[in-house]
Amino acid sequence: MDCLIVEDDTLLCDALADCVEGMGHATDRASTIEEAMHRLKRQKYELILLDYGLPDGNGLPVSNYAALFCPGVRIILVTGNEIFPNGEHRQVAPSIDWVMRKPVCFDDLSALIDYAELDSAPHNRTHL
Amino acid sequence: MAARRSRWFRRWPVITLALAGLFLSAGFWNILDKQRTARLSDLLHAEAGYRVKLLRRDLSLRVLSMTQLGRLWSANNGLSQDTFQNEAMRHIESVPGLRAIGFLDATGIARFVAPSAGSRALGRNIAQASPERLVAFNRAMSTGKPALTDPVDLVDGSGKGLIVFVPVSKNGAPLGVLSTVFNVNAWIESAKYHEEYVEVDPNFSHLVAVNGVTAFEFDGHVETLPDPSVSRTLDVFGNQLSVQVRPGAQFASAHRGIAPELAAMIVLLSISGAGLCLILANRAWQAEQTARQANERLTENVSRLNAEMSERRQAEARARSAREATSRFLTTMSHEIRTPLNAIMGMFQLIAKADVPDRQKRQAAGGLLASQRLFRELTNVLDVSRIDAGAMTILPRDVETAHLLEDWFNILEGLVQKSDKPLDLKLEKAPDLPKIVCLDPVRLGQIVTNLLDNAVKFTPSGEIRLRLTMDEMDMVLEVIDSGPGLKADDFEAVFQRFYQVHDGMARSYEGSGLGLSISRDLAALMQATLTVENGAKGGSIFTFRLFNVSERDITKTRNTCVPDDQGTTPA
Repeated sequence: MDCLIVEDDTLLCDALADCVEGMGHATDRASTIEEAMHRLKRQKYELILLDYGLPDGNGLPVSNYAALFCPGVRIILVTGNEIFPNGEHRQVAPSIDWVMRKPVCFDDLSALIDYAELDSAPHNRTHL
Repeated sequence: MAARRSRWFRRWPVITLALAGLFLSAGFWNILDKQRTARLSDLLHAEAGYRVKLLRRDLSLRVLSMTQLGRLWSANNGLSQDTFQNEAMRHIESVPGLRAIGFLDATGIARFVAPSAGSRALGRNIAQASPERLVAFNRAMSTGKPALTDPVDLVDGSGKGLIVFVPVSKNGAPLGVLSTVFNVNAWIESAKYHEEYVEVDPNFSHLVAVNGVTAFEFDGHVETLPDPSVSRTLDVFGNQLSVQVRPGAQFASAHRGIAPELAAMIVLLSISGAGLCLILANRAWQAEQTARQANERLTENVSRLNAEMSERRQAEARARSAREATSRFLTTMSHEIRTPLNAIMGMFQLIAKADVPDRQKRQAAGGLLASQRLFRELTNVLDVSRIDAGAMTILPRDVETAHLLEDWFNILEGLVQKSDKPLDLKLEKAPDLPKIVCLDPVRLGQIVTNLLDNAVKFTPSGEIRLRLTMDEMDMVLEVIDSGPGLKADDFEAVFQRFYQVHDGMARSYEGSGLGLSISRDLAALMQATLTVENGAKGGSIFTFRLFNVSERDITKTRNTCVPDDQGTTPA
């Protein structure tokens, strides 16, 4: 899968990229909303790892933008905040498939990415 | 004492006014009573004066009529017996009360007496009659003016009488004296028939005296008062004719009048009324003052309250702002801690999985464990800060109890597996558990995870049971281990911050001692309790009790908790 990692923290971004690439997927990186949207306009992605807190705002508009430009894309929201504890993201940003809270266990992340790759339909969305 | 003095001070105007009223009314009464008495006295004086004048006039008329007889005698150098008798009788008949008329010669011998029948005076010397007669005779002869005797007893026994001696002279030479006797009662009675008589109030009684000798006593039919009595005296032919008038009781009461009493009452009532008005006005003024002061105090209190409320609102706003700032700070810090830790932990995980020598794999694994432990402690610290700042929120929602139990048991299995301890795990749930309950699954999960983690940590071997039951309306979650248990002194101490249990070998376990403290604080925020006790067979039993948990109807309240009279409400 082509994966876009939207994360402003360089170290974490590198770690996530290493994890995803270690699974055999290609990755692109963006550290701002603007950069992410620029990339989404240029290329289609199957998977997006989206950070909530970005320098130029929260990452939710990226999910809506991605759903428009990359239909069928699977989006995992990664956040250090306690937002959407009860699945509220389904109303606020329905394009987001899963929400993972930092620090993300890379084993869990790997399992979820494998699942996303296998299950292309947007169901069983949950909060991890 | 002060209250009594104050009452006295308040009452002195009333007392003064009352005394003034009494004095004034007494004064008015006194003045008017004197006027009344004077008026009565004037009436009495008038009556007495009138009476005495009347009597004197009558007496004068009687003497005048006698003088006329004397002139007749003088003009004729005497009168014959028959003529004297005729003239005298005519006088007697015409003058009321006249008893007899006689002529005494210069020596005092009665030469003529009319009526002559049965008269003992004829031929008798006046000196033989009585001393009073003789005195009057001599005075008349010497002065040439009529003389009057003091009241004498009449010889016929009809009472007191007066004798008038009228001298008769011719050319200055005394010829003799005409004497006339009249009954005093008849005399006084005849005075009423005078043309000048004015019928006055008959409620009087009189005492007539001549030269101090009583001639006529008070009327017996008039009930008189001893006082007042007034007497007037006039000179009648050198004699003192006095009339003493004594008013009857009816006269006194008829003429007394009630003006003084009325005036006194009016004055007293007026002053009382004025006093009452003064008192009422004073009380009204005092009430107004009191009301004004109370109003001022109320206004002050209201202003103070408003100021306090304003201050409190500002303090509340400041506290809220501080709380929000703290919350934002903690949220930011949480994010700023989690993000790099994620990178650290992720890197260690990647290294541990990479194709590297075992030594580096072990180092990476150690680094991962250390970073996980660091993350746990930082999370605890942030939670404690959030709880202390009041920024910890409880978000209840409807959850299925079966899912909760499954999640918790999975956590327990993971912990046991990681610990690599020979521990048996058991899950016990009551059949009457509600399918849906309203609670915060995240916070409860945090509590349960902490309890399970402690159970695995402190139980070297044996079993760990997770039990969920209902106790009437309360949901009871118990984590039961077969570890060494706690001392009774530690039952409450373990929930204190930074408290760590030490065994006899002084071996301390990992952790800062915040887990149970945070768990109890979270339980309190969820309006639940968290307690510990030792099991009957050893080990510890941590009990989480959530009160008033009711079956939720998920079709009505999906993912939201509607407050009802039994269920929980969102925090």
